[in-house]
Amino acid sequence: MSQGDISEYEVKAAFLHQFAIYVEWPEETFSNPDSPLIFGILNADELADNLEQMVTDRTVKGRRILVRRLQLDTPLSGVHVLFVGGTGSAGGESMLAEASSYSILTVTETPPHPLGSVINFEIVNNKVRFDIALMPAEVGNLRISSRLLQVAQNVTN
Amino acid sequence: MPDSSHRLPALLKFAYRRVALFILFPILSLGYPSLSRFAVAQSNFSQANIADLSLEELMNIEVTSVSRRTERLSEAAASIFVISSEDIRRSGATTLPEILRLAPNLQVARIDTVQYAITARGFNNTIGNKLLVLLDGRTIYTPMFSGVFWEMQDTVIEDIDRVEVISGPGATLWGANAVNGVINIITKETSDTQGVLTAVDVGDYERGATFRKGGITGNDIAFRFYGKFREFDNTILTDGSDVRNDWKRGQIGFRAGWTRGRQDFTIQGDAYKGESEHRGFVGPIEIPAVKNRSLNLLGRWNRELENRSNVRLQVYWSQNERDEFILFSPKTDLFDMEFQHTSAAGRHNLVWGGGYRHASDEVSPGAFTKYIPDKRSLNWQNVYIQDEFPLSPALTATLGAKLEWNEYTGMEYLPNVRLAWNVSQNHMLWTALSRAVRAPSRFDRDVYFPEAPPFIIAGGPDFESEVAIVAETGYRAQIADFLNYSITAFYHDWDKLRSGTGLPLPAYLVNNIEGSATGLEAWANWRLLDNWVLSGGFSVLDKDLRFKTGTSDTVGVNNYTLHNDPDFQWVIRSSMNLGLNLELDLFLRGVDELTVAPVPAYTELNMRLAWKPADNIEFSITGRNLLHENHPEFGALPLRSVIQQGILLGVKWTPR
Repeated sequence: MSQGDISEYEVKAAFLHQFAIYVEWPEETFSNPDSPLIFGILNADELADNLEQMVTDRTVKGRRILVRRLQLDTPLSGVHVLFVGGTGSAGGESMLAEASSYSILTVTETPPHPLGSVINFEIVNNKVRFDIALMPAEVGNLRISSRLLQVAQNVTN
Repeated sequence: MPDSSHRLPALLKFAYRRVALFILFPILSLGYPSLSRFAVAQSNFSQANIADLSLEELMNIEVTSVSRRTERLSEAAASIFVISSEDIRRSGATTLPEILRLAPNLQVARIDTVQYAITARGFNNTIGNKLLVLLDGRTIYTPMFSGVFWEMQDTVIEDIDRVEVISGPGATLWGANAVNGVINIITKETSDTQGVLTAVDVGDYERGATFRKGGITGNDIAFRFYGKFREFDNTILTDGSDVRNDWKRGQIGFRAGWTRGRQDFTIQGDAYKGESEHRGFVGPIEIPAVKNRSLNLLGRWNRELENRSNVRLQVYWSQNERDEFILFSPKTDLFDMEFQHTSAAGRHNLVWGGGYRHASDEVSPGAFTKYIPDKRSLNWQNVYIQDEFPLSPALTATLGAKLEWNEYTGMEYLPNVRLAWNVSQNHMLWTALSRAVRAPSRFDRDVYFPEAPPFIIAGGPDFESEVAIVAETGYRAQIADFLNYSITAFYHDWDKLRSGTGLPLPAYLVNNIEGSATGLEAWANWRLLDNWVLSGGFSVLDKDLRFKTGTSDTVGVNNYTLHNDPDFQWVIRSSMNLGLNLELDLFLRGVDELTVAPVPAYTELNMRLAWKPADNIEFSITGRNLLHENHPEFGALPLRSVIQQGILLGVKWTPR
């Protein structure tokens, strides 16, 4: 058995993949029934690396998964899940604001829960936990399964 | 049933005063030995692997955001079964022994209202002595006979994070007494038990209420405190007559934890009081109630050092009193301190440490037994070291040894060697060879029966440690995300098991029995559908015991404390989510017959239906032992209790 550790970003990548299973997007965000589900990752290369390896050969509800590394000026159209990494702002806020005009599941990792982010990660006792804000999900027309709400640490409006 | 309401405030006052006093006790404290101490192999999930985990499993992974190592029990080279908090919740269990029934590698037999016989790999009896049991790092067996008074052990069931059950020896890390197994009950961190929890349940034979409140102070100390009360109605004998063993108990406690830089601190304590009803008269002799009290206070300190290493220090004090007219009434004070250093530098995962324990007791004689001397202080000291290192990319070796010193037999040597071979990513073959001992307890050396001369049993002045050389091998596999299983075969070569001397009387306790215990433990977990999980397990045991050449005693090898185990037992559980926020759980168990104090084989079913209209409220109905009106589990006729069918209604609420 090899030696190794599980890094925070491996677990967060696995969570992102799970979130996609428990969130429903409006039909119109996909051009056809087998068009891919697109993850946009900003400021989190380690997470993007992990996610890319993880989702090869995997599908979510029959859809392939694509991982895109975003720059601050990358347009968000077509993206389904946006992860904004880092605890500093670094332009993340404007990205979140832009995301609110699409049906995008926004995920962050900043305390406190940033405005416009649906899911915010937190590390508690070395374990990854998350909070869910319902309002930004409603604005984006996303449906979150009750199972995901059940395991969330806090659910707020 | 006597009214207990007037007793509770007095108990709270008593406990509050004691806890308040001992909170001033100098605290150094620290990370208790979870199985992390035992885990021989570090994890290395591939990303593909991690992606197969459920949300709950992901939430339980410790990440290495700091220098802490992540350790996965599923990769330890030992027979380990973990009962999760979700398993506990869905079982509807309300006491620790009932929770332990979920582990296929334990034998759990209920004797009456609150007394249980619990062991792993055989030698089950009321004063079973080959298992080490820890609650948040505190050893809870009594030095009086190295067994656990199960009726005195409780905590907030909802706040249990997990119960790790190792069958087989864990002596190198855990010390003497971890011969047949280790049970490690671990409660949640205080940061995971914020807010209020209220739980009430009412059943035809037991009922209870729990209140817990968690919070965080202005300087980031996360805390919780709780109080709980539980009562059990008496059991009946086979002829239907009442046994006078109604039982009531109350417990309060607290825990606080905080982090300062790279240091973590924990303080926790509990105060318990329990008593039976008055047990009536036998002719002119009054048999008063059994009464128990216990207090404990524990501190832990954990510090991360450079180079992925870690130090922990744990100190605790506990006091137990038990008034029991028939057997004996011990009062025990225990002080325990242990230190551990772990490092994961380079290829080696090195753990070393040491410990000191002091127990002083005072035993009042019962109607039948007494201890001579009636007061005694005992000390134990130990040092240990264990290294785990790769031999090749797929092969990991663990070598370790503990030296433990006790006042009765001096130095005991407790080594183990383990090999883990990762056959493929999710398949592991492991094997281990260990030496473990059960060191003498007060009982083995100092018990006299009856309580006045002429004695039939006059202690065991020459009683030595019971010794087991244990060979184990096991295979564990995870097949995709829906099936995992574990199978372990074991052989315990026993020497110097407890016996008596032959005639003439008095007899002395000596170590004239030897033999072996061979068996198999296996379990599997199968996710059939997203909303349906089936799990099951069994254990098979074959013991072969004999007197050493030229020795014998008056009770023989086939006696109640040595040879009263089922050859076979099994469990099957089904957990289903029915939709509409309904959960249905079935728990079927079968135990083969006991032959020495004969108990017929039995099969029983527990069933729980729960409705969670919101995520913070749960209503449940649990039926226990549904297949028969009653059945016995342990003990000899005619005084053996039967365990009755029962229904329990429960409500749990965590107000927002």
